[in-house]
Amino acid sequence: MKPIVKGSIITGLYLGILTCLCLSIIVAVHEKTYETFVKTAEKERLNKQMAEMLPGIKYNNDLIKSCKLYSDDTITNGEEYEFYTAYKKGRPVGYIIRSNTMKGYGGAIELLTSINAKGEILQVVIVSQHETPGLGDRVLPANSNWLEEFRGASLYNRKKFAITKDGGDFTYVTGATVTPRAIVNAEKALLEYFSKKGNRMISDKSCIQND
Amino acid sequence: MFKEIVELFKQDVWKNNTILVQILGLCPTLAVTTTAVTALGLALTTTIVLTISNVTISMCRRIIIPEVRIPSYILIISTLVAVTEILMQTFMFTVYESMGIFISLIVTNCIIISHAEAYAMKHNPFMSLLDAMFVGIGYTMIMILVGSIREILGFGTVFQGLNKLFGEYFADKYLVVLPADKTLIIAILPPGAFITIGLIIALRNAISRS
Repeated sequence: MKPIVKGSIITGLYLGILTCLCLSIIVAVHEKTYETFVKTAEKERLNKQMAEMLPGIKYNNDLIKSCKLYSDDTITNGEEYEFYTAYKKGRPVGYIIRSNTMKGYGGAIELLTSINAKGEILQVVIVSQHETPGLGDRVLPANSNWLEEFRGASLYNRKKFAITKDGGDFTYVTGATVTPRAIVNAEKALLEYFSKKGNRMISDKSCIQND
Repeated sequence: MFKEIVELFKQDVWKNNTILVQILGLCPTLAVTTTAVTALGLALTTTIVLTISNVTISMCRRIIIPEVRIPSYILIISTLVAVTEILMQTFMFTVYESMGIFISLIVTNCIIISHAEAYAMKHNPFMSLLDAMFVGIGYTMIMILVGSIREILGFGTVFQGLNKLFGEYFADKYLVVLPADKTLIIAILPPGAFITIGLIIALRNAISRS
């Protein structure tokens, strides 16, 4: 064999082996860390979603880590739900609370509500619902901006925390009173529970995802 | 030996500073220096990759076939960068997000390959380690300087977001230098980067000439 051919073969083999070696290192590291990465990314996504629910509030703790479980007969109907507290310099400045109501037309409606320290609602998100499409589900942000009516609402700045049909000032769609009424009453119950218990709502029961 | 190390330090940090004198690896330098913290993050990452690649290449310098040394460097460096990226994704997600594509672009940073070729291939692992660290010091210094100047002019703060790199303790530990309504938007745009680096290079030339 000519030396130049031999040299090329050796060089080729050498580069091939080096490539295999490098690739196996990358694959090994990827395999080892992939699961942890997926978890972190999911946590980060949740954190961002939470941060968006606290517009204009400056806080400096990790919301996910502040997660505690609570349970109540009226506002969670016995379910154990998460609530998150945002702190600034050790003082709570905002809360994100999950609650539910069984008064919906299609059963349980799960809600996520953010409240500031003054007890005003910042944002309401419907986590899950089974309302009639086209009627009850008009409250969803995809169909209307009805949920915006909650922005800034508190027990003190509404003469009656109810839909207009019940003497309050939250609107509703004719023919579909059940869903708005259920949600408004659930938010009212939540605010009442919150103003009664306040910080004492904080249980010591940490969420499992902290582990 | 000691003299040699001091001379190497002088070379890497001042006389042959990668950004100011060799004008190498300008793309990430210009792109991520919008704030001091992202600049610091990328500088540290680059330094770590540079250190490992210098030592690895120096250790392998006798088995690397000279004709294909450049492809070998590229393979080794890209593996290191890929591994670093995966590790950062996993353990420092927020930092990873704020630096985005620039981590994978470390592969193309000519500082690393130029030091593999010019230094690590010809020296023992210990000296290569020192070389990488000194270059890293010089690089990090300038990155922080450019980042701080742009952040002060553009946002009015310095070192905001240090918690992304070093944990929640640093969440409020930053300085406010200028009121928010007195900032210059151009400082955080690409032209601001060119102007800042240009002025720093001019300053360095003025100092070394006098």
